[in-house]
Amino acid sequence: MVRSPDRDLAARQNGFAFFGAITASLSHELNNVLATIKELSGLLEDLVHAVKPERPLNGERVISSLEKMNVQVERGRRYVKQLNRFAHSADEPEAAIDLCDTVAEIVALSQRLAKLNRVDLITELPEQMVKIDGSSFEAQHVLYRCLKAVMTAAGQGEKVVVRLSDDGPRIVVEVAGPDRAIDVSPEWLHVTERLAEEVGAVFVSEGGDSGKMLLHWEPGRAVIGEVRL
Amino acid sequence: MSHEKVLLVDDEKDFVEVLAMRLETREFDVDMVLSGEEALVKAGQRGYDAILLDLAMPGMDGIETLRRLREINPDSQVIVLTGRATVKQATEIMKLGALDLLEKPVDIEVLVEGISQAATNKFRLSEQRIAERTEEIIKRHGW
Repeated sequence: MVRSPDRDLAARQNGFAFFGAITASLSHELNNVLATIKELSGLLEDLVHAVKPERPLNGERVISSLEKMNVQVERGRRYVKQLNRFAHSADEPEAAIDLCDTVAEIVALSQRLAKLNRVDLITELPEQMVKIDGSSFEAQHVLYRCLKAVMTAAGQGEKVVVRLSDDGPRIVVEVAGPDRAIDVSPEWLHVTERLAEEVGAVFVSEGGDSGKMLLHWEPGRAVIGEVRL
Repeated sequence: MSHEKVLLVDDEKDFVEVLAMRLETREFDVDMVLSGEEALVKAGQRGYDAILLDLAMPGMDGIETLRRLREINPDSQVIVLTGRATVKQATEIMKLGALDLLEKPVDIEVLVEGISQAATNKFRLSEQRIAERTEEIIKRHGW
């Protein structure tokens, strides 16, 4: 495919924006982890300084603080692992990927956005692997755009389900929110269409207020994306 | 002994709970809430010497909460705590009348100093309001 410099630049800018959004979100969470650990270590210091002959160290509070610290360390490790996997998702522009992993990863990476929107974001994944050929990074990028649009349309306390199904020749990822129109601009549609093209996809949008977005894959063939709006 | 009234507003439950404990051991009278909406309710019920406000929260964010807190009480002394703030956000925060913008993780002594400054400012403003009202009454009655 011959591409114009403008088109390459736009694609790069969109990729950077997606990468930036995810890393900013994870770094924010990591900062919260560090801030909490700093306060917990400060609390331990306060407890030690408060010790007097008539007031011994409060062992229960020490243990409780250490347990909370461990919880935060585990949380931090989870974010670092997610960040590392996400960074490496751009390593291979074309590889065999398990769509279950890809969906699970982008949903995990989008949990902060879900929290900020007060939306309950869940997945329904098949037990077996769902293999496709493509770029994990680009697949996550397209899914993230759908997730973000559906979550923005969803109201507080509502559920957004990312459902992956493999019924033979066709693999479908459905991002379903409440039955409500998803307000996206013509610019959004245009950019998504262009991005889909970048991964060899055909992007179809329909009118309506189903509150759903769908992506279709046919293994061994180019990715076909369909978004119903 | 201080007993300044402090409101902590942050959706990070563990963070806010531990910070509240640490401030309480330093003799502050601390309330905590996990959202901007709850902060507005609390601020309407009780006068605080200092409000420590997180910027990125679900629902009403820190900037909108700050704007509304200052509408409820223009003398509110708000210190914004954040993991990060863009130049645009920082400018808006200061324009809205926040006392300070501190980056998390923050040193407890810096925070204590900020709260003390907030309490001093609030006291001065309160004195100023009393003086203005007294002068107004004197003028009105021609005393």
